[in-house]
Amino acid sequence: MSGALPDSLPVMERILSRHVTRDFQERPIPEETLLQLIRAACAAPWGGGAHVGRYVVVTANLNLRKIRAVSPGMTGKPSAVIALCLDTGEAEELGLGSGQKTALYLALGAAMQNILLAAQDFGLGGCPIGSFHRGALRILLGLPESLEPVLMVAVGFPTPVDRPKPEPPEPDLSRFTHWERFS
Amino acid sequence: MSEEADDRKGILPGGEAGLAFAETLAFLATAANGTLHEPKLYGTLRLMQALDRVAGAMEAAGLTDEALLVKAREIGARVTTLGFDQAAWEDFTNDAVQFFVERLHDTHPVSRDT
Repeated sequence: MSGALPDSLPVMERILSRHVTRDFQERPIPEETLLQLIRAACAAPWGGGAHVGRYVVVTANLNLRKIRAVSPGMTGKPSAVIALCLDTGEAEELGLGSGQKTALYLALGAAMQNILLAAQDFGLGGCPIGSFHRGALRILLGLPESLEPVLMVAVGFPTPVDRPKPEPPEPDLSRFTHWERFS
Repeated sequence: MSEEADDRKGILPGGEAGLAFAETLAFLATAANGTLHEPKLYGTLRLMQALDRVAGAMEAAGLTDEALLVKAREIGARVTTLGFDQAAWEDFTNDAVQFFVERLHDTHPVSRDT
């Protein structure tokens, strides 16, 4: 299925309309809203129901500035940053050791996408950040060795000039889709 | 606080200017480390981000004038919006080079005594 969507597919519409926001207003995000984003993250699918994601929410201006300094991927000035971490200690205890690491990263990616999609409901924009120094973030956030910072999401209210980028071309689904077997 | 830490305090004084320069140093070191593993094109982006930060720190320290501030703000705004249109980025960086070289040339003229 491609092209125009019927009105009855709100989730699909959300997914297709989401875009990365890098320019934010200087406007605080209510704590309750941030908690709703974490709630969305917690709803991501985790193998065996073992949720070993941990989310550090940063809103203090000085803390945000320090994080930006060690995050070249964060080009804008968000009102909040959510650091998505894996509790590797708990993962080990649950038998989700190194062999399961890929699955845990994928689950955290799903949590990130949930945050980005939920943010739209609150008028927020977001940007996933992968380009940051893990060791530096450990220092700034006081993360113990057992907590591995994997990703960050910058969130805030988009500036009026932060328009959606030009519509990306409709993907050629035949290029990405293979029926029954790869061909 | 240790004697060594006291020495460091002198290098990065408090206040907005000290904070801005400290942030810039952290950014430069982070970018130097990060670009080892990032796509090649990110290198040029990180340098312009650094330029934006240096200009911001200079502003905080009172080392800028109106023309430089206007240019620095233009660069800062475009760094976040230009994306990866390589041709536009090349024009953008060429324009920045011209501005800063002309400024260097005009503000520090060469004579036979210099």
